[in-house]
Amino acid sequence: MNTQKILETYIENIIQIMTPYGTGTGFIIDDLIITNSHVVSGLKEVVISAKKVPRTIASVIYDDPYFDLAFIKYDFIKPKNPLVLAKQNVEDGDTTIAIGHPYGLNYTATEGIVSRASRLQGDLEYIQIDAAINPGNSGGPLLNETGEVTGVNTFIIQNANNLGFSLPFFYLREALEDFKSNGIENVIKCPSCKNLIEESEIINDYCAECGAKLETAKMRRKGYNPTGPTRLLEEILESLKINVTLARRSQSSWRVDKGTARIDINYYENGIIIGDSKLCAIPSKEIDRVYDYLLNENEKLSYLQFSLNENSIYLSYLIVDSSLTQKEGKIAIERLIEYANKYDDILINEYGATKQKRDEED
Amino acid sequence: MSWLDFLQTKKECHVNFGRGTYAQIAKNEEELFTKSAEAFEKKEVLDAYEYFLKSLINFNNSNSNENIIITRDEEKLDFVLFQGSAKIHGHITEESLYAEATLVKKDLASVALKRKALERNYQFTYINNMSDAKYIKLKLYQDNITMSPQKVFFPLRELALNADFDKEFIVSEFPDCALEEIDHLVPLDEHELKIKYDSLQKWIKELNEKVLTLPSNDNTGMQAFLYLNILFKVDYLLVPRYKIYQKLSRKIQNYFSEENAAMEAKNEELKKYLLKLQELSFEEFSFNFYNAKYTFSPIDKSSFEEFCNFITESLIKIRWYKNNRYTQIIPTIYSYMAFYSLYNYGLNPVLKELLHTLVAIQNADFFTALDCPSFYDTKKESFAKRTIIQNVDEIISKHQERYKALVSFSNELNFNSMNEFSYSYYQALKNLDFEEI
Repeated sequence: MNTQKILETYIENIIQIMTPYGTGTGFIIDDLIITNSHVVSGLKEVVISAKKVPRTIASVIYDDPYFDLAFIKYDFIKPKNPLVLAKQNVEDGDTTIAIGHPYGLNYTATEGIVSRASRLQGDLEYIQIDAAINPGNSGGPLLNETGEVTGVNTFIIQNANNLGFSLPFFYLREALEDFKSNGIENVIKCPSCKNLIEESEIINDYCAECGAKLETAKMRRKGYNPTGPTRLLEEILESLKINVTLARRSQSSWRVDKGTARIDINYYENGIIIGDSKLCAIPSKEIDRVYDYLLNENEKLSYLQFSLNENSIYLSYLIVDSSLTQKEGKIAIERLIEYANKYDDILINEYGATKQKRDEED
Repeated sequence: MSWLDFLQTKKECHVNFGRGTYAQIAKNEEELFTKSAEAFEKKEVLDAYEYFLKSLINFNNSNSNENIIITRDEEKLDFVLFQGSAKIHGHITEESLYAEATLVKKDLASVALKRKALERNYQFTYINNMSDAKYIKLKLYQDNITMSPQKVFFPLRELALNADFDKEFIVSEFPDCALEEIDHLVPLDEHELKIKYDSLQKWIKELNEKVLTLPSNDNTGMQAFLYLNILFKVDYLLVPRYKIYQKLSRKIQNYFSEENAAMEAKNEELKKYLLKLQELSFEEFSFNFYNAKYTFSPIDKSSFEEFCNFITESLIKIRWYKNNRYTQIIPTIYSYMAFYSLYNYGLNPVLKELLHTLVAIQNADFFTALDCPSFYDTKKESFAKRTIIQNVDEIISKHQERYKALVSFSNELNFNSMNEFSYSYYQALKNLDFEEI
């Protein structure tokens, strides 16, 4: 099969994984989503999305910093063409395909060859490949020409060209067998003694078997705790009955969809918080009338303002972090969400403005 | 020292130079700012605003410039703030601050102007363009819940600077659309305009003659100094507004931002622009001038270190030209250094005044024509040594209360020639100590 055919065949198996710290890739094997441990960043919950899975929260039930693997549980519909693990090791020069979401570019497949079938890093073997993989590819599958999973794309050498490394499928098979034979969810693999430790048995983050300090246990216990204006922003979103975990795009950005409108809230390093809704694009006729309308509305609006960037109309709320309060922030953001949808409809229906195009999984 | 120096009396100069306020801030500015912060803490909102606005009033010889006019009663405080072509009307209650500047009549605004207004909104942080029944305005709204003087300063500054800039831009780009609320602008008298016009013609003529003295090859760097120096000089000494200012600042900005363009091409661009300036009739030229009150400086504060680095680098360039026997360009670079600094750096008042003194010495003919202190006789090539020393000492002593380690450098100045004088002056500026103890 060629690369495009492989992507089309197995696309339902490919998952995008999002945490406040970044995004990565996962893939379905049996009833689990496989990814890297570093993608889930020591969190118990992550946000996932896929072709047939809308953006949703899923639980990380296995975290293995030793193999850099994590398993996520989610009750998904079984893909039409499920991925399976390869039966034999790759060899130098084999054609190989990496699938993932590099830099958030959904479902990107890149082809290359196995540069070296077994490259030792520490005490683990890795498959060195020259297929381009980038941040966001982590946790994605490495496939052979028949579409079998030969590895989990795990790391690259920074600032080098096409030096990618995949964890071979046999480590994944070993981890899956151990996990399944154990039959317990919420386990951490101790990177020291390699035993699977049930999270509920961990005291003060020490491995119950060998006494090693488990950093992953500590991170899972603590979870993600925003502070300062970020926390206040999340409290405001919660008070508006928005699921903050789903809305969160990073530690300092959130997205809310309402009707035809999309609202992005970003907190910048210079202390400015900008809630922006990129509404429709300006129409091709009677544009003067639209400008008049937007300028007139700006007189009536408080907290919000209309602006134009390139050809798109924006409705925005800007505030400096030190001025943000729960009460006023709630009014402003609630208004932004409600008005963005309302104005988008008015501009499209009454002024002939053009609806924005969006990637379906964006 | 000439004995005539003793007979000179100190002249007052009523001409404005450079951008920004160039006026003295209130003597109790810091105290007013602190009182404002305390009043905001105590939720005495109107008092807080009054202290804050008073801290922004600037002075000339202890007389208020009336750049902000405040009227207050029990429940509200209204103010008018001037910033060049912009007149800001503010209304403050216990709950909020609302301020606006009227730009143009809505009916006269073209589709391009309205688009520009909406595009500008995307760049602003606190303010936005809007229209009421009659006008397009820039507005600012802030609630007072977490207000402090710092939190009023930046929004108000954004409103004032951009209202001024946008009004000037409108005149330059949309000349058919008349500006509103400009009755506070004071036209320059004919005599001053004529001096400015004649000076511009003279400078460009001298520049063209100077270009001919440069070596036929390897002269792009020298040409750049000549062209940029005259543009900075026009900006600081003539202070044009509207179209000349807009074009001139764009030319300068393009020159420094277009890193991939060849220097020859950039020089050619400036040459063409200067030719256009030279071709302006007196009427066209005169349209671009007015006097106005200012509240905020358009340039953000720069560090003294940044200024010193620029001076050091420039002196290295001068040494290179000297060593390579291109001495004809050296006076231009000494002139360029002062004008460049005044154009680009948000300097403290001491440096600003000291650089102005140097500019007055280097451009004595222009200052003499305007009946302003000039400190140098171009024909005799002689310095008004005593007046220069007195002037430098006065500037320093005026600021010693704030900068305790500031010491006058008048005894370090070298009056042998203009080049030697400029060198000693810049070296002395670099050694000033602005530590606030």
